[in-house]
Amino acid sequence: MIEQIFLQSIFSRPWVTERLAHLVPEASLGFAVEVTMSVLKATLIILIIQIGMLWGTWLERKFIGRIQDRLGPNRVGVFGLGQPIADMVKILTKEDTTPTAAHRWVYNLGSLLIVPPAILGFAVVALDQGLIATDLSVGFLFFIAIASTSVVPIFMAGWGSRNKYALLGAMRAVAQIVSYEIPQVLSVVGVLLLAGTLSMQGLAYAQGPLGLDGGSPAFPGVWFIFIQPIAFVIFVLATTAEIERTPFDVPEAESEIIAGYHTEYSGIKFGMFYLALYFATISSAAVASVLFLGGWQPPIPTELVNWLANRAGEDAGELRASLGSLGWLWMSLKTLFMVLIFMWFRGTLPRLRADQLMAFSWKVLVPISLINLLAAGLVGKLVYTRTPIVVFGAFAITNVILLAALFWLIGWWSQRRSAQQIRFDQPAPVAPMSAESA
Amino acid sequence: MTEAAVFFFLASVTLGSAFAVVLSRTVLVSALWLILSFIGVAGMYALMGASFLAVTQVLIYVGAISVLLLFAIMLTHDVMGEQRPMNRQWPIASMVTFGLFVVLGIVMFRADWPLTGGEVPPALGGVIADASGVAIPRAEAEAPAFSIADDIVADDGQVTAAVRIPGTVASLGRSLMTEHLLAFEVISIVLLVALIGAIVIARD
Amino acid sequence: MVIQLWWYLLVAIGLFTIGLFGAMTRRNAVNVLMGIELMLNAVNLNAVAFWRYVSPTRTLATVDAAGETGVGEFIASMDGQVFALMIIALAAAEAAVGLALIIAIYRKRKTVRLEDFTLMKG
Repeated sequence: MIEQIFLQSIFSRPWVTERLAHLVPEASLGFAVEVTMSVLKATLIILIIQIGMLWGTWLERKFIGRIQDRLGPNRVGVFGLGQPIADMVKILTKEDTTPTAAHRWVYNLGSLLIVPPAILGFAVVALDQGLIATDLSVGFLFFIAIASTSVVPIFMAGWGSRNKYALLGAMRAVAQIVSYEIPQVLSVVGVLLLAGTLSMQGLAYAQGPLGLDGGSPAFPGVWFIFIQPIAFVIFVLATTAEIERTPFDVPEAESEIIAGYHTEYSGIKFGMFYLALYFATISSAAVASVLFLGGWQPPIPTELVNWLANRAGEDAGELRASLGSLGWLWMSLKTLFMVLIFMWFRGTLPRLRADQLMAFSWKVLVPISLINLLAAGLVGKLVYTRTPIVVFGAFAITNVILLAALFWLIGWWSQRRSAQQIRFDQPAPVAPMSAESA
Repeated sequence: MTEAAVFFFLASVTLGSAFAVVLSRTVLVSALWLILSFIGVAGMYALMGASFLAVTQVLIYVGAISVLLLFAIMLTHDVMGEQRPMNRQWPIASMVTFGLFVVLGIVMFRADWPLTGGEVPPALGGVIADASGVAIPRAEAEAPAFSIADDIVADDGQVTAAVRIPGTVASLGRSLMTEHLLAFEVISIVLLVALIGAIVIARD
Repeated sequence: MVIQLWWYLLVAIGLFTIGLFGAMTRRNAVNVLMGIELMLNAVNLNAVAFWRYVSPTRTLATVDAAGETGVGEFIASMDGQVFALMIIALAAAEAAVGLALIIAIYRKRKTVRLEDFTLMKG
């Protein structure tokens, strides 16, 4: 476990204090330790997402290539693994242009400011037990707030370019992000209600066999995907729209408005938008896996671990510790799974139309997430502090009822819709000829 | 010392960009400065330990209100700058506002604020017990706590049992659901009315 | 140097007067609304500053993770933050209705200059 020793040592205060004690005078030691730890954490996070971004592009092209029965990149290096580096070289050496009519400051700042919102979300992602940059008390809300600020650089890019396609793309993007924020948050409120916390570390503790300080697990002790599956689906869809990935990439629909708000950008400034897209994908996948897939919790049922711990008797703490030792691996696997889901969407689904997009958020996702929230509150109150099996059972029944009602509603609605549509397979009724027209 | 430096940085960002909002010629550029000013205020909330408010400020002001402003600018006006962004009353207005600044400043310095100097409770909640000398049975102490003041576990200042108190977010939520419930309901209705009203007014 | 209450109050006064100046002098209705938002922010800053420095407190014994006990004065009320939250919600409502009004007027009169809104001026 070299990786784990490495990660936990740079994130631990005693280790850093010991190293710095010889170098820094006593008076400013505390401050120096704070700064050093912040820099170490930031470096680690930026390294993780940079590498994730570079080979994320490779993975996406390879994965979508396979979906579409192609090979994907395979020329640079083994399996095309060198392709991201070749892409980087190309983007960096491209000519950097600025339109003459552009508002220079707003145009250039737009491409720079698009990256921080995508990176900052990572500050609250729980990578392992005790391995988090800052465990804010408002962790999830911080992620949402930071993600919502990405509308400002998009607007700056669209307006600063002085190009009507760019402006149109920016308007679409902003409207889309603002609308999909609502189902995204509403779907998670049920989860937050059950876990009773907004802190990302607290949310991870609420979902699995391992409790705080090696103690007994917290309520409800089940991955939220099993007790809030509707919320999970809504969250994934809304997040896909938030980060403007296909099928929700209407703002940059190339067949309609060229490339949306980044039409006028080239070279590294365009690269910034590309970077931000992948950063946002990875951080959203990480947040989704903490919220719904248990984060760093091992994929073992809580009841089984409790039973084993009972059998182990005095060695229960040791058992829990050994189960928790692979947290970073589980977290990485779950994040990778979520990233692959986002890529799978892109390979499979066609792009929506702009009006369909808004209607889908306001008329479908928001009502469903409100009903789901109501059910989560009611059932959660009934089964509060019960064992994980009871919670899972109660929510399974609720979710089956909700899904049945939902499918009935969809069937009724589509029947009504098809009755209203003009039928082209039947001849249109012909008005009988009157004497005057003849 | 570090905190004071952060405060001065945030104060200069907030006030500087507020000036830029008022003086900028292009409407859209002043909206962008306004966003920076909002972020500065959010930073000051965080500095005071009101983390939930800081995040709400970013979410509502930066993510929603400024977007509304930007949309209104796009829908109503040509985006080019104006020759004369201010009306003819600006000399009088500047004198009046400066006078108001001085008056408010004098009032602020002369007032005797009843400072209490308490610390902000730990944001994530923590183990805190009362030191007022009142001993409470352990069973009662471990009952669900409703505010910070209710978590009393002490015996002659010696802690006998510890209770996890709620974090600031939890206390804020409890406060909204107990003491300020009426205000909370009223503001919800106000928001609903505003939502419907805005749609009705702006519709073609 | 410890941050004092009056530092925050001074920033709030500055923000309020700048916002007032903007609301009084700008010709564009959207800019006037921006001035009003600045003033609301100043009020919020005041509310949170008072929450931080003049809230009722309570003396509590603390136990940290290592089991060490201590005594501290802690803020025992959330009123200031609740006020600020209410004002933020009101500001959102005000911005939505205000901008809807501006858009409705723009549709009728093709302008957002405040001195052009002279329909009621005999």
